[in-house]
Amino acid sequence: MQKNVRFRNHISVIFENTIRSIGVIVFIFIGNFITSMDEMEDMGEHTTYLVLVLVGFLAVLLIWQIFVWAKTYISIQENTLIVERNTLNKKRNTIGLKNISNVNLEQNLLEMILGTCKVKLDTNSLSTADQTDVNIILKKKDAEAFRQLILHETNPEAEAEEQAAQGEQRKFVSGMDDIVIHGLFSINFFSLIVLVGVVAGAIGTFSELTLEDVEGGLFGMLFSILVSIWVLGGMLWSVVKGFVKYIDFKIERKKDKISLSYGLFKKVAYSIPVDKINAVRFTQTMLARIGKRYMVEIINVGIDDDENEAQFFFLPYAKKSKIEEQIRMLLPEFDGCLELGEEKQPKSIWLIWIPKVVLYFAVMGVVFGIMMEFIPEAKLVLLAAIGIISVLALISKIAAFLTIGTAVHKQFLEIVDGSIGRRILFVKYDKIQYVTAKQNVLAKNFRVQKGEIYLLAAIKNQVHSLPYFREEEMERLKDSL
Amino acid sequence: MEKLSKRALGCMYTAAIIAGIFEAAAIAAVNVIWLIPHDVQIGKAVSVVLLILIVLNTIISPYFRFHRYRYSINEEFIDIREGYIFVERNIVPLERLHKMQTLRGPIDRIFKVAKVIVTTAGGDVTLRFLDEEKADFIAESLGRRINQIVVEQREENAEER
Repeated sequence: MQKNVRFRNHISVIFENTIRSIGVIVFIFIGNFITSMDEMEDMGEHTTYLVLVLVGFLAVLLIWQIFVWAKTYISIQENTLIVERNTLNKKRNTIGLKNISNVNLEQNLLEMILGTCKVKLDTNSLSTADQTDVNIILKKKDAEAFRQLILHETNPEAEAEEQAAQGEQRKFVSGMDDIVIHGLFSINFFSLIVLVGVVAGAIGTFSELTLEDVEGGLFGMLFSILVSIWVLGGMLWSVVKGFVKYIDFKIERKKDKISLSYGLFKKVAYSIPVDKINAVRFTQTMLARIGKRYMVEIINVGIDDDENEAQFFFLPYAKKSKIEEQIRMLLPEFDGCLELGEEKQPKSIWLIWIPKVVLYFAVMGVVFGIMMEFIPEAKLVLLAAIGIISVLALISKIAAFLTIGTAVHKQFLEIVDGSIGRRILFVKYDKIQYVTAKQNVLAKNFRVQKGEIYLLAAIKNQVHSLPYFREEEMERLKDSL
Repeated sequence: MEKLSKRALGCMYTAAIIAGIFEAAAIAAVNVIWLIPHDVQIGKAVSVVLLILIVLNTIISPYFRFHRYRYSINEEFIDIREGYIFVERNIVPLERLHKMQTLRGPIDRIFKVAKVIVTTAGGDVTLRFLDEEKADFIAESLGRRINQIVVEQREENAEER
């Protein structure tokens, strides 16, 4: 791959984009199509027209994708990456190479079969993030060459640095045992209970169902079964993905960059400059808290713009000592942070919560009153339901009080969040863009406040809540910024 | 910390009165279209309570917001405190500023006040109801400070290399 040469995406992009568009259309129309199947049988010759319209539509879609592919060019000229699209609207995205922080490669199942790769670019700024919203799909060899070319242009000394770092073995490769442990501790206990309940319910319902019960006859029933399988599959996937998502996980520190790759059905390879890491988050599910295991995620701009990668993974669940050892090896900038410890919320917040509790019982009272108007015979059931919800809310609040906290450490701001599970965030002060503190009359009286910190990160990780903390701590935080 | 000038109080009252008129008009419309023709007693009672709250809010909130508003700008931070029932404090380190903007809405122009919006990589923070001359002065001095910070950072980077 060379500079000043214009090239196109790999031709398979036509196939991928067409399939994606068809998938969306099928998803929208399939429900209506099946439930209207009986009426369509009466329509006779209209069905043929409908099929012709659909085929015509697909042909237009395919031709349009070929047109877009033929008219889209990518090139590296001088110090810029240029993506031109000369279709009905002429569009030219020019991205300064110095603004590109990461070049990542991704492969889904189809791309693995075709031997292609998706190139994803991360920029240093949120305002240019939309400019990188361009599909670049190349043959794996070309994608790697393209990545090397951009990395060389953004940092000409990178190769020499990389070679110099070759001698250092700062690498972690997960074994099957790590992945199984990670999968086990990733399981959300409540998702598991809901899943078991839904499976039992679905089996019970379908075993008693007859064709006559279902609107749309056989097709309707098939559709209902397919939808149920899809819903259950989604829930099941949320439980088992922890076991398969991070198969073949490798992470390596090379000078000032972290390289990591993982995936079975979707292979990803990221390269992250360490100075672009804004924060590190240690996460524990309920099971992990019981088993004293932690997993680690990192937050930096760009990396989790893709909603599928909303949680950016860094290290799988492991014991505290092992996690600390790996952090020391791979990210010494955050070494020792787990040992620091946080300050819990002041006890006075229970008094600050009184108005909320009063409001809660007022709402419950109104709900109870309205329900009694319509179903007075269910008085005991309603009281029991309100009682159970209130007890669960109280347990959750106590668990949150025992978990949540903050600390203004020398190097990091620590924010602990959660109730049954726990998330511990460590942010470097120079990465905090600004801070907001809030107080109502009661909080002011007790000299406590809560607030938010704002980071340069993807939307999901841009704002982090600060739980109630003492007023004096705000001054310490201000001085640390 | 600095306070706002009396011009800001006039601006706050005018904005609150206009907002109050719109809110009262919305309640009146609901009453005329639905609550009065259908004689919904509870709806009418709620409307009266809401109207009283709107009037009270229009009279009280600008007074408290004006007297609670404080701001300070030094070599390192912009610090703003504002609010009515809930008091909010925003602290922005000057080093994180990317750009700033002065803005004058129609009501601001009547009372010769302006907003200064400072933008960081994490979002915007607004200094409101500043006298026009003060807003221009702040924008200019912050602009100079941002340039100075960029020069200092470049020098630091050059030294590190």
